[in-house]
Order: sequence, then structure tokens, then C-alpha cells
Amino acid sequence: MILLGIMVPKVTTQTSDLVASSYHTFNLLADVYRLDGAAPELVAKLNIALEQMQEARIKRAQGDEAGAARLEEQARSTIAEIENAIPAAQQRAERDSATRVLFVLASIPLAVIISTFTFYLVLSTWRRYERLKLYEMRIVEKKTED
Amino acid sequence: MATTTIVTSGVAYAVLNPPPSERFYAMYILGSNGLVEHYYPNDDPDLAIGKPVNWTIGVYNHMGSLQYVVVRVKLLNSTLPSPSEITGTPSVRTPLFEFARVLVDNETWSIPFVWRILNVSPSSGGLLVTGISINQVTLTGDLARAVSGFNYRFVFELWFYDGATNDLVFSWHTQSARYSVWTQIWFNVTSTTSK
Repeated sequence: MILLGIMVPKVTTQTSDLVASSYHTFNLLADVYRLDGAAPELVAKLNIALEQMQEARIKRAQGDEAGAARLEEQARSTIAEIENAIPAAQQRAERDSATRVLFVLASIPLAVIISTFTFYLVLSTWRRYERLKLYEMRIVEKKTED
Repeated sequence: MATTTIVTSGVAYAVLNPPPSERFYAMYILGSNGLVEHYYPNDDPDLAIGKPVNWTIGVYNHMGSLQYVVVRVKLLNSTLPSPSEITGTPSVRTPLFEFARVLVDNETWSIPFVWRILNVSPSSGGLLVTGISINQVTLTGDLARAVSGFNYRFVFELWFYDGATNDLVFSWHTQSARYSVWTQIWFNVTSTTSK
């Protein structure tokens, strides 16, 4: 058990530059996801950094300044690793997004052509059926007249 | 031909662009067995000093995007104002504890929340909680006072990062309404000694 003989507000006070870094990194990651990309490994790493920040806050509140500084350094290092990996993730997301757009753009005329063709096929079949019915009716009428 | 093209294009657009689903966060608290029951030892909300209470806080992200969320834990009594959904304002109390995490869309986050009252002291007709342990972290100070030790409550507020303000916020707007997410559980500490 960790014992904290401290004033409560100190437990939730965060080192502001580290928090700002986590926000910045989150924004970059959110951009990757906004492009319909995914970077679950980077999200997991950011969550590790957030846990390290939380532990650092507890250590600092406990009076263990050295332990807190060590954990914050680890968190900074984790965040730096994420930020270094983000450009590649963004490029991958942009590439995947462009591929998806091209696929959709290419599939729209194809879908229109196929559905139009199907529509005309159904329409012409129906017309032939109607004509056939009309023809049968005429035959029946002719037979009745005879 | 033109009509057919318009109709089929419309159908194709509707299929490729479905309407966005409703966006929301959800937060809930589960009891010791992971269900909506057994919130207190022996189902007795009159807690004894040192008796561990085992909850799980759940947070669900259905905002349609990556979210940076923070659960702020506050200890209140019955007279301190609650967070307000109408005005979107949180409780004025300083959080005792925080949990932070980044959640992808449709992700549920389960937070173990094991706590116990460590120390209380009589204080002007009431009972003042001066020591509490949350997830094996001990917090001391004037945490919360309640008349005769009745009606303390843990309030859990869901905050999230807002890119526009570059800070954590407690509420969000849609076209017609303001939303915020918080929940609470009440308990009593009616004895200054362990049961």
C-alpha cells in the first residue's frame, strides 16, 4: 500500500508540459483516425504514458520527487516515440484513404451501369411478357370469332 | 435513362453514406461481482472503517472518434451541489483521484475502484472523513463532512479533451441540447470504529 500524507489537491496536479504533450500527441493520433486510419499500437503506447503520468503524480504527492521525475521522463520518452511514429501512420492512413476514395469513385459508374442494365433487362422482359399476353388474347379472340 | 441514372446514383449514395449514428458516452458503476448489485459489503451501505469496497467503473465511447477521457472522482455530502446536466457544470469539489485514457470508437474501459474509509473524526455535529484509500493509494486531509456520518457520496465525472479549447471539458453540445456524464453512489459512515 502506498501511503500519502499529503494535501489532496496535489494528487491530481499534473506537470503541465507533460499534459500539454499528451494533448498534442492525442491530436496527432486523432488526425490519423479522422482519415479512417488506425494505429492501435500508438494508442496503447499513449495509454502507457498516461499511466506513467498518473503514477508520477502519486509519487510526487508521496514526496518521492526522484521517482516522480523518473516516471515523467519515461512518459516523455514514450510520448516522443509515439510522435516519431505518427508521420508514418498518417502517411499510411492517407494512402489507404486515397485508395478507398478511388475504389468508391470507380465503383459508382460501375454500379450505375450494372443497375441500369438490370433495370432495362427487367423492363424488356416485362414488355415481351405483355406482348405475348396480348398475342395470346388476339388468338383467343380470333378463335372465338371463327 | 436519366431517371434511372438519378435513382441508382441516389441508392448508391445512400448505401455508401449511411446517416451518422447518435454520439454519446456512457459511464456506469458495477458492484463487487461485476453486476448492478452488491455495491457494499453485505449489501449494507453503513460502512465500517477499513472495510474494503469493490466497484468497477465502466466508460463507453460511442462518439464516433478517438477520445481522450478522464474520470474525476470526488467525495461529496448531500448538501454540496451535484454536477448539473442543465448548465453543464461539474461539481465544485476538487477531485480526489483521476483516471485518464485514450479510447477508440466503441471501446469500453473498465476501471477497478477498490476503496476503504481509513479514518474519520467527529467534527461540529458531523463526521469528517480524514483518510481514505483508493486503489491502494492513501489520501488524507479534510475530505468530506456529513451530519452524523449519513449521506456521503462518490461522484464520478467524465471529462474529455476538447481540441477547440485545448483542455478537458465536462459537457458537450449537439444541435439541440447540452450533455454531460456523471454518476454517483451514496454511503454512510456511522461508526468511528471498525465493525
